[in-house]
Amino acid sequence: MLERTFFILCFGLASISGIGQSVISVDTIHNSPSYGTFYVEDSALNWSDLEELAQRFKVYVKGANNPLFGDYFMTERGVGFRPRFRPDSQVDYTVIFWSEEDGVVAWDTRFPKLSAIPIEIRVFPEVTTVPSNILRAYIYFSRPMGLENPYDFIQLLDETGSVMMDPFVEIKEGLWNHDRTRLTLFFHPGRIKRGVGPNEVMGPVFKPGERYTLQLSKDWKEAYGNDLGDHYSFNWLAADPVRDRLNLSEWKVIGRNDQVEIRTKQLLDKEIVKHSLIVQNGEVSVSGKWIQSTDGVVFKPSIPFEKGRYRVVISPRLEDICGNNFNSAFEEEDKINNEVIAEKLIYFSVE
Amino acid sequence: MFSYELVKPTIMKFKNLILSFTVLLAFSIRSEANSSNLKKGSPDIQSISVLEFNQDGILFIGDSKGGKIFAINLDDKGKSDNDKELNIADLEGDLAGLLGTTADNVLVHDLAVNPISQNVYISVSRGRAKWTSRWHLPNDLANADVLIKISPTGEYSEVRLENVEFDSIDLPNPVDAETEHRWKKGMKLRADALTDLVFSNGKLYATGLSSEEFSSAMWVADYPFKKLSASTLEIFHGAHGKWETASPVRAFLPYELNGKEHMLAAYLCTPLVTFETAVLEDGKHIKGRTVAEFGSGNYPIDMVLYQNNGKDYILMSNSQLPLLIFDPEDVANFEGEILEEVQSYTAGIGYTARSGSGVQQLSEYNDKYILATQRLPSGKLTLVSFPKSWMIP
Repeated sequence: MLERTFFILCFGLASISGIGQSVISVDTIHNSPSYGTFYVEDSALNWSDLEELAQRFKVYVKGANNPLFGDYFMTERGVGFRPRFRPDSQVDYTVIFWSEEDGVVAWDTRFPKLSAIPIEIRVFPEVTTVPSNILRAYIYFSRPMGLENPYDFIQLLDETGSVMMDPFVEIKEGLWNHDRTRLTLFFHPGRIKRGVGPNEVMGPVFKPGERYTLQLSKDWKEAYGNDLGDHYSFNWLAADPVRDRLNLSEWKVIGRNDQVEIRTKQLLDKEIVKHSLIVQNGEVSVSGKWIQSTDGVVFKPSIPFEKGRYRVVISPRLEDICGNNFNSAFEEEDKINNEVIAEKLIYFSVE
Repeated sequence: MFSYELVKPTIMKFKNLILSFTVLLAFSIRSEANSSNLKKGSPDIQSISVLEFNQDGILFIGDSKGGKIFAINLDDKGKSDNDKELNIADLEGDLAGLLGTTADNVLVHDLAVNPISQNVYISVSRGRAKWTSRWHLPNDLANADVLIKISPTGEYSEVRLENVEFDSIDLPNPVDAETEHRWKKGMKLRADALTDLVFSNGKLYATGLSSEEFSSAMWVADYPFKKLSASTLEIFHGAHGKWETASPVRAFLPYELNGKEHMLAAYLCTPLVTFETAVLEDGKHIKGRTVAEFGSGNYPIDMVLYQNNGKDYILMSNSQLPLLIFDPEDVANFEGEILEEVQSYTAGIGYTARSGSGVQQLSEYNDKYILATQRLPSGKLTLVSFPKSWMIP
């Protein structure tokens, strides 16, 4: 319970208390309700004047001119100070306690870095085998990442462990979502599309049958300045390229009361799926979540489906992971701009 | 036949009587309302987005997230005759010490000075780490949740908005909380529900984004609060060559032009537009008169009126342009309006650029000084006093 950081004041505090030993402590347990609260306590003391205690007990960011804003409160054995904000693991704090007899006692402390809680990193596609002409991949972080250039910390290694040159389109600051928890990796389209300059000069990024490793550097920092600590590696085996348009006749839809599964021949782009597929009951959209399965996507409704007939509205913007859509394959001329492409509908029933 | 000469003095007398009666009545209503409308409690403020004082030391807080405006009696009425300057070398460094973090994580959202006590009030958050674009404004990044007072001698204290006398009024039609900004990725328009507040002649004026078809809005409330009237605004933006209704006023102030009170309003990309306040009416759509284009690629941040050698000038701070001074007399004398696409970088009335890059928030401080926050080349944010005597255009 007392997993606080302690500092014992081994000074004669007789004039305050008669006898005793005062303890300065702070709660450094992340999920504790009193996380970040500082205490001065002494069971032998009889303290009652909170205002006077507040004058004697101050917490500073180390080196700052003014003490932290916060609230003082009496505890059973002393006084507590709750700062206005949760502590910041990037700074040192100086606790000052003052008494007539001992003068000023100062204690420096620092809160454990948030990196003590490991960051979770996932990559999409999660499958180990990907088409060799894959256009996009996503890296998901459980905490916001920092502002550094992400490409300084990401490498694609080939089978021999050599770092590959220019596998990604490097966009200044990176293709982040707004809270910097999702990075889009855009493989060099000029190297993927056959017959264009980079493809002919540098060749494709992935070759069918070969293994690749996406490696994230341990030095990459998240938004609070903590580095990842360990290298993170994700392995892919490149399979034959997929150069076909999406084809609805190849899809299979299986509805149950807790989900609808759509088996697609091609691996759909996870982020595009989120805003390109809508499950409807009549005209009303059903709320729920799309997740990736081994051979397609699965929609889990927030409330189980009732018996009946439903439909999935598919936007013409839907693409697979290689940039192929219903209207044109990645290597074909994009026709979306030239004609109005209607949404597609597939129906399913829940028994 | 009526004799005009004969009747006139009677009318005048009667008018005077009405006038004095009205003044008396207004005075008694106001003092009564001031004490009765404000109730003691803890206002539920979700974001301290914009700040403004009236002459009686009432602090108005525009809460974009909550879609409300609060009036708060801070009980800060000790009169100050101070005419000294106030300068703080490292404002964010000091705030970091008070909030328990590093200076680069502190964000100042707005600044206002109580005209009675000269105490400086700033709204602050710990949100700057999220800053990734020069187009991000503080309210895009975080909801300011701390109000800090700085005394004329530079002492800091936190203003707890608990158990205070307050009143509030709801915006009838703030922009929807979920609407995404058109080009600021991941940002919600709601941060701009309230962009500026101005108190003038017993009325509180507020600008921001409404949920109306023409979203740029100006709300007007009598104080003490009773009802909020909402007008929507449209301006011709010369740099874009088109009429615009989606972009909110960024900074504005009242000024009497040719005998009529107007609001001088500055917008993103820096058109300066005038609106006559007498035509603002609930539910009405109002077109402004564009009198200047001060330059594109810039956010106007704040405006303040001051006098130099007995003459009025307006100082404007900017995200990209330098500190600039313009003469409201030029606005009054400007004939016509900008109604065609402007080919040059600036157009309409001119301005004088003053040294003062990185100047952000502005406020009248005392008879001699204008108070400002300024980002210095060192990266530090300073609180600085500009002498009005130095501000010669």
